[in-house]
Amino acid sequence: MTSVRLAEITFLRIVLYGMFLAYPTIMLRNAFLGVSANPIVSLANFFMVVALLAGLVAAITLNYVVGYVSFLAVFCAEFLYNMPLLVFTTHLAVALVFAEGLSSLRLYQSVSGVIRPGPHENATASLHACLRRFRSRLVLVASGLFVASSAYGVFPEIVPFASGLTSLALYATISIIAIALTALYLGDRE
Amino acid sequence: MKRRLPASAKIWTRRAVLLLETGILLFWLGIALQNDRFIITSAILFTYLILALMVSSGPSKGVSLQRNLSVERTLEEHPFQVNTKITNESATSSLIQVMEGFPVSLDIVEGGPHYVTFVGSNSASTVSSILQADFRGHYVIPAPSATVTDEFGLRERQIKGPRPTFVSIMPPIEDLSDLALDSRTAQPEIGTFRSSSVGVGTEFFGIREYLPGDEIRRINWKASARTDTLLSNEYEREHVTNIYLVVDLGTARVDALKWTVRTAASIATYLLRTRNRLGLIVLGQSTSHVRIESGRRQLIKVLDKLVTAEPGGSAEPSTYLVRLLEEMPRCEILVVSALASEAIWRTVVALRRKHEHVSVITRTAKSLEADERDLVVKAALLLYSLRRRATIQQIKNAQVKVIEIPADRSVRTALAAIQERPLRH
Repeated sequence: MTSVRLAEITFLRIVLYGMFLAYPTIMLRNAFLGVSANPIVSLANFFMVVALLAGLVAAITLNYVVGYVSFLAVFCAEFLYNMPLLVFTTHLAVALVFAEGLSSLRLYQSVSGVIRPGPHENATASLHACLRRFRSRLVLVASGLFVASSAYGVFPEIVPFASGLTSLALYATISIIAIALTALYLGDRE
Repeated sequence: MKRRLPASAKIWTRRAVLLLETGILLFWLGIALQNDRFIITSAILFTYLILALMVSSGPSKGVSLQRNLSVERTLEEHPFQVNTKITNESATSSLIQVMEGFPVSLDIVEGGPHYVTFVGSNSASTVSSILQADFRGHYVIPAPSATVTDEFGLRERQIKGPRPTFVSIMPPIEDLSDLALDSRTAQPEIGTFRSSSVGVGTEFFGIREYLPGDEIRRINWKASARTDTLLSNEYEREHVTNIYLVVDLGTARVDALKWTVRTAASIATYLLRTRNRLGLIVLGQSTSHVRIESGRRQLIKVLDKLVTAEPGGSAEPSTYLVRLLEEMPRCEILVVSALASEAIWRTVVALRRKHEHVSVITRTAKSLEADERDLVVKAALLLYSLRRRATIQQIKNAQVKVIEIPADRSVRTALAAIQERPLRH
């Protein structure tokens, strides 16, 4: 039973890292895989490599700090590539789902490692249920985030007044609402 | 003043706080640099947080823990079950991490010290582990604790179990009921110790002519038929006796300690179950004793003392022991010792000075020299073996009988193999 649990966790790791690896390969193929004399693009490539390596380490160790390092490296790379806003936002969404998905798996991984199988070990079924539930919720959150980030990406193009400081103010308002909502959660203590 | 968090407060995890702070930092950087990409990144982080909080069920409030053990006391190397019941009385199902908090001195045979379990709304789940202890003692198993988290590990709630549980690990006790022991300090009451005189008992002594008043069931019909005279069987008289058990725990070797305590516990159980009076002296970290008594309560006292006795000390005759010897009634003294310390012979001699009937039960030292490759260790073991032999000789010189039991044999078979009357000199 332990091997089944580990296989399930390993499968999730591979899927998450595959997604993280596939995005730049597909969307940033020309910039990332091409040869450029531009030093800024070279620096962006460097950050992209850092992101992929940190991502690999995060996929192996399930460490959330390394996961966020890869997220920030993606941010730096995208910032330096100066890609269209839609690519920028969706790539960040992918990186965030990757980092968060891996960090959330750490708990399941550590538990499956300490359980010794036997007739009295009844945590296996629960762990399966937990993993199934986590998987479905992660898909839900990832889809929602992808839709939201696409919306952020196309928003300035479809709204005529959303340019320059106007769009900045609009995004700021959205962000402040987000902060307010999270602050409400933070204050929700008994 | 430091504000203490309530026992089951809902708190954000470090990861969630890191995400939130990164989002805030990027947002203000975006404002300061008038860069929309920073602001969009912060918006993505906040969106993730909000989505994750909306989708996940969150840590439930009504989660409680209960623990019970399958036994209150058990034997060394005997597995026992620990059940932790997790009850979720809230309306939402919960992902719960249970930290059992088992002490490291207990071996986990099945299950684990750390579980994740998923408990539905208004339902309960029980996680079981099988533990065992290799060494006697009273063990405290701390109360379990649990962390109720949401699916993404962003928020959690800490829960503590009600109270710690206790388990007593006793040394294994061998059945010595078929042993025939003899005593010179027999008491008037009828018991199990043979007194080398004819009377009420179970051990066959001889045949004599039938006398009026003899019980019919004692008539030896076969012998009577052969001789044409009515003959009766005679039996050896059996008594209870006073015994002091002196247990020497002055050794650092775990196997020797285990052997000593097991042997002492087995002998004490046998003697007290056969209505004898038994006292106990433990020579360990400190000298302690249980006054001579008989009965079931005495057995519990003696076993409890053996379970809690701390090894160590020099086994030198302390003033406390000398005072005890003064107060002791006339009795047999049985010393159970691995004879690891040279000082034990001085204690045995002190006992012998006060009491006529002293015997030492020890185990044969393993011939470790044969399978040891390191020459230094081999030499040290050889020296130890020689010193031990010298100690045994000194004890024998004091007119004390030394009974050596092979280490790989059980107490019952070994004592039986000594062929009768181990207490007689």
